[in-house]
Amino acid sequence: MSGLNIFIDILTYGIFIYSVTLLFFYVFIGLYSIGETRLYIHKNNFTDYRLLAASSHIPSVSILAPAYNEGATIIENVRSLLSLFYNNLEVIIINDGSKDDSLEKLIDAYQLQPAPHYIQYKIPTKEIRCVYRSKNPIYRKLVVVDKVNGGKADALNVGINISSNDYIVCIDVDCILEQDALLKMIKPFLEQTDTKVIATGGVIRIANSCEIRDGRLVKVHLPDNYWARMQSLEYIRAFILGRMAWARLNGLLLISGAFGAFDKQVVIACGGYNHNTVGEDMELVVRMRRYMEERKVPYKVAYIPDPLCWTEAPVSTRIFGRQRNRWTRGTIETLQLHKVMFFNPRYHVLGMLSYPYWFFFEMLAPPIEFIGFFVFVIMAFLGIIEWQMFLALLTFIIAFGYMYSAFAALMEVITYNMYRRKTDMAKLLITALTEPFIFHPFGVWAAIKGYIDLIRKKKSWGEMTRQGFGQSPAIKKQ
Amino acid sequence: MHSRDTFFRFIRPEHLYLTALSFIVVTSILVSAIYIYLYVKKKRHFLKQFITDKLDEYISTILIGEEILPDQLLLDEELTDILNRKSGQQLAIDQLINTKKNLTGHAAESIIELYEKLNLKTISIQKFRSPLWYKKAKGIYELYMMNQKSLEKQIAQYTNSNNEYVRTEAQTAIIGFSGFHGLSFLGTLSYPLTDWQQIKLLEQLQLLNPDKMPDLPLWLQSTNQYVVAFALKLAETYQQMHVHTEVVHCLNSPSERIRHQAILTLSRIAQDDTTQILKTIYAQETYANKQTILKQIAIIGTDDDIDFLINVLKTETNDTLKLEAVRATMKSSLDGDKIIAEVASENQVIAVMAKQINYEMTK
Amino acid sequence: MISILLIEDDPLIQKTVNLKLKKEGFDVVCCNDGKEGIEKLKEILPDIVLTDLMLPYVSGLEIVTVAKEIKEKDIPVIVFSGMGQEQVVEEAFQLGADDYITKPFSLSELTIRIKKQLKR
Repeated sequence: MSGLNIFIDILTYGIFIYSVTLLFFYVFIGLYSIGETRLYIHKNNFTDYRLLAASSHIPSVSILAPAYNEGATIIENVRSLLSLFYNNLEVIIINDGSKDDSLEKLIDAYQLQPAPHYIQYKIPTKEIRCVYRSKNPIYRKLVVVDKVNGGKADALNVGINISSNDYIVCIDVDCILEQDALLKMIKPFLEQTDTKVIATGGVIRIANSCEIRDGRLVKVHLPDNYWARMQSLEYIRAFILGRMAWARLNGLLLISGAFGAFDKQVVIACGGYNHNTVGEDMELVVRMRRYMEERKVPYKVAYIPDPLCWTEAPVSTRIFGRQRNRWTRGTIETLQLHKVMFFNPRYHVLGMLSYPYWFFFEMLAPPIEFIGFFVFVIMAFLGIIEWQMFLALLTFIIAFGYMYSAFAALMEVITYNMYRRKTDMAKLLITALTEPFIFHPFGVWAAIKGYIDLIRKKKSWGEMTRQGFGQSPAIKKQ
Repeated sequence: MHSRDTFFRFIRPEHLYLTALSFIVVTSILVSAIYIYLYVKKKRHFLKQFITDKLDEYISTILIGEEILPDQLLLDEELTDILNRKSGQQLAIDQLINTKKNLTGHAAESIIELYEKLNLKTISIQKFRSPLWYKKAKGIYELYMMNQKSLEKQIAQYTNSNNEYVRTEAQTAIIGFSGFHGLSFLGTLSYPLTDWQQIKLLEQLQLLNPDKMPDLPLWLQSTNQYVVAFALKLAETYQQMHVHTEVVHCLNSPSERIRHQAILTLSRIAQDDTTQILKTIYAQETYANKQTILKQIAIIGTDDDIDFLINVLKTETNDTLKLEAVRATMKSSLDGDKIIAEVASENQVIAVMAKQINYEMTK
Repeated sequence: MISILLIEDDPLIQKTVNLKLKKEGFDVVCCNDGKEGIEKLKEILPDIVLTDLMLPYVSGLEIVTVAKEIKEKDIPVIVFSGMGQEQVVEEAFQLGADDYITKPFSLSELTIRIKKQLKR
């Protein structure tokens, strides 16, 4: 019996210490982010972005938007990208071997013709079939690249190879960007003095149920769908609190794949996106940071808290589950690739704080919760649960969760206040009450499935052949 | 039973319930705060709308040419009431600034007159005197947007302030007031001048008539690298041929970025020997600057430079540089495409590059 | 009465230009964006078109193209541009624009240019 007691002791203490540490981190993140948000709002009280977007001195930017089977909306999406205010801009749409009529639609709508282009494979990619440009001078900013299917990372690498500009902005083609988004994202690069800015991350907001007209967000509404609504809250917590705090520490590990700006030279020097992981967005940022750390060059990953990018969130449990599954696998793969940094003082904040935090509290959280639940069931079965204690612990954690969400919502209202209506706020807060019982457990379950899928994939790794990657194809006859 | 005692010695369920209760209390406070903020923001929105409408009425009347005295606006009781409160004052200032941005001439002057008559100028000055950096910077911003030249000397003292935001606003203000004369702060600047700020200042100067910059040669030799970079941009934008020698000297700078800007500037103020100078430094330069040099030769190059370019084409291994060399050859000489075609006949890579450049040039 | 089509997304500029031109005796139709502008252009066939070049979604250059493609009437086009947008203005001229004015502009100057175009 004593062996079991000790085991239960360790487990209970362990989980308790884990939870309390996590809670302290959350509190720290919450409070630490406030200062940074205040600073940002004060700084930007008097910047006129519209005026500067037309300047001939601003650096050249290429928007890279991979597209796969987006036929239904691709014309509109491209049009909205072409109308962004920015003087020296190139919009590169990479058709990743779509099976539908995306390419035909684009060629038709934008009067595209094949344009001879010497393709430099600075980063190895799958074969590029053709580069298109428009006959019409109105669309001179547009470049469409048709390539063999290879996944998002590969498509982005193609975009990088084709781009002739200094900075790249990688987005999901169906994202809706604010008019001033580009200049705001490029601004950190222009403000650097001794510290090199290698990338800028933006805020992603949920576009579900919002009014969109002609590729512009006209009115913001709280999503009707439960899952989308919960994700709104989750995104608010993650972006306004989490990323803000990490950015202030210069420990930001993740820039959303939906919207990020990068210094092209650094990306190329690091080897571009990694097509062997599903978390290519996070993996690139971690690798870029590691690259700079190893070269001992002072650097920074900047972060813009303005809502600049709106995207549709998954509304069905199936797609939502798959997304979380993919995120989990991506996190595990990324952390595994860079495990040398774990508590390694050579990597400063990255190795001593960011990496361990992600390892313990993002990556391990689902399995720990899952195992905890499992153990709880067993203990309940064996009748050794002290119910008083258990209920008290549960109440404690749930109450903390509510407090944290309320805090995030308050910060949202104080800063950008996208959800103005009192009813919207009320709906958001009431939905938050269900989080510990519905949304969160589902997220954990999807993450566990991610673990399982990854372990299964690893077993069949040897059977996967590298098709076409790793060498520069012969020059295609044009 | 032993294990539970050890654990419970430190924490009892009551403690947890108590803490949970305090969390709930904090949550209620936060939720109340949310609603208070929403209410406050809504009120502010309506207030802003009201002020905007009133000011727009006034402005429209001026713009269509009818005379209206600010006093008429002051007689509006509701408006004066609002303007006695801090919130109303700030909204009014913001709205006036927004409007003025889009207007020139008589209309703009009327806005400024209104600003002064409504006593909003004192508010801005108060901010300017504040020790808080963001208030001071905002105050400076408001004063120069409203053309309050009388405060120029006082604001000028902050062009070298240790606070970055105060410093940049002061610099922008002085340029706003005195145009090119205001650039004299470059002589004493001991802090960095970010690219962002440089762009802002250049855009401001572009709105004015070009004027002499007698200190330009001095700035090009400044110990402050950022001043040198900015001076180079000025020389480029305003084609200051007379500083050619100093710009050439900048090609010796240890900073890659300064050399980069110097190359760009030289091609804009090119003299007979400029291309030769660029060709001479090419070999020792970094990859990025080599690219820049080739791009500039594409603009200012002539038949005399073909030999150099073909040499680059044959000796460089990097494809980007090869492409630039092809581009430069085809752009600097009328026989460019013939010469490239010769090289291309033996080299498939060059042939593809030539096709791309041909396409570019015919669009 | 002479009809003017104004395509401008900045509400303040729209309001002030509208007022000034109405006072001069013109009939002004305003549009907030390019898409609406093209529709109205084809519908009412105005005597002159004033359009901003930096429009969201549908570029001002498209407006110029559409206006010049209209066979039934020769509609002059004046474009508004911001400072430093010479390249776009040049393109507008290549597509057939008749005149341009940079923002911020003086309303009297705009009126003079409009009258000049209408004299043709």
